Amino acid sequence: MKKLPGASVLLVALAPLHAQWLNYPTKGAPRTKDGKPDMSAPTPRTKDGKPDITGIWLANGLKYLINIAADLKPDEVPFQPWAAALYKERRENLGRDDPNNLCLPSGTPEKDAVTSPFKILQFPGEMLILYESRTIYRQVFTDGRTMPKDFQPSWQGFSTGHWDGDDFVVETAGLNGKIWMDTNGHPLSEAARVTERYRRRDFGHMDIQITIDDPKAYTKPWTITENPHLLADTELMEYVCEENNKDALHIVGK
Amino acid sequence: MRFSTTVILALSLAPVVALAQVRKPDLSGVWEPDGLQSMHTAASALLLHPEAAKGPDPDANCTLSGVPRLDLGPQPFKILQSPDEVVILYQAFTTFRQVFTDGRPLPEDPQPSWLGYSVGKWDGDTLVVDTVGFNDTTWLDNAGTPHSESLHVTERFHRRDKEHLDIQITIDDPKTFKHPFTVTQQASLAPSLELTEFICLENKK
Repeated sequence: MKKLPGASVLLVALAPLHAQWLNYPTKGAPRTKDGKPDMSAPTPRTKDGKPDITGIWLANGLKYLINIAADLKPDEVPFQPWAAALYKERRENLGRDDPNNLCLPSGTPEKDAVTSPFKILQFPGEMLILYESRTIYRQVFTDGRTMPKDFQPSWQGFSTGHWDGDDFVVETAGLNGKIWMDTNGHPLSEAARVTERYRRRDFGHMDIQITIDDPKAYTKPWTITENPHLLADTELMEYVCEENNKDALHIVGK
Repeated sequence: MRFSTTVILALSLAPVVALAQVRKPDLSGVWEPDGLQSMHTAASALLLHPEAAKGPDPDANCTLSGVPRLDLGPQPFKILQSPDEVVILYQAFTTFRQVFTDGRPLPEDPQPSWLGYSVGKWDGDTLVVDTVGFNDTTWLDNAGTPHSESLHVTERFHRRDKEHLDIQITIDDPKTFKHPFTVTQQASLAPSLELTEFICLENKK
């Protein structure tokens, strides 16, 4: 029996490599007896004792991509009147004007809920998020810098991160006001500040608590929690929306 | 007995490994290409089918450009480096490449892609990046130099000094060129620069 772990490692190492390294074993992943990643193993930590949030993560289904407020009652989203009217219009016309229809990026925080994986990497001075969807990246600076005065508003905004206990807290501003937070069309104005608290509960599970503070579109800050899971033994693939966008011409809405 | 041999072996190798890791050059930083580089001069005489018609520029469709076209400028790129992978962030298209330096081999039958599949290894002070698995749609440069799916790109990243990075780029594509050829792109450290979001579709004319 003592030889089993060694044999398992050998088997994993010899497993055939397919295209895109889709079954490439994740280095250092804790394993169950059958060799599968142990999703409920304790949260790994970096040398400085902080949780190690690196890895490839994927939203659990479509729920929050369709409706970021899925866990709230409809009257719990504190819309400003114009934002409520816009949301109603978008629902009624079946999301005709969703920027994603045209292959424009999904912005912060919709990216957390997209049903393609994202990969978190940690470097000195920044946490980097690579998104399979659209093959784009987002830098979260941890070197103490602040948003430049001349920052051009963007889909992903300007993000800084810091640790609060075991939570990695990402604060984002500088968003461009064009973002739909979900396919239902919850709007986000250029005044928005988005706070994401990443908490790796165990080896295989992350909570991302997202607070929307956007006084232009909502009367008060509101918070939801998403729960992506780890994808071990795989890699991101390339995803090029513009390569095969057959939808744009056919999305007529109502 | 086997256990203790392994431990002894591990202990004896440990200082070498640590030293090797410490001594790798740090390529990280924001780099700005020294102008727009073309492959035309080196490539045109080597084309096996010079008569082949050049289609429209694939970048006009806001796909992901290609390799080594993204190295050739003019937009800046940023290198981030960890022991297991080097990431290159390109301002152009806000896209990225992962270069795995954890010893994994190149995939044997890769799905053709825009940016390919990259692994890297150190040759002295030079990071040697091998990339395969391209589609045949991308251009090698802005001049429209073509290639096939057999393309194998080797980029040798060498930080000449603190402020200068040389990228020696070798194109090996026996279905397109008579023999491999090499061009060198140079880039300068841009410490006061940070990449900005570039969404091709928003600028599509």
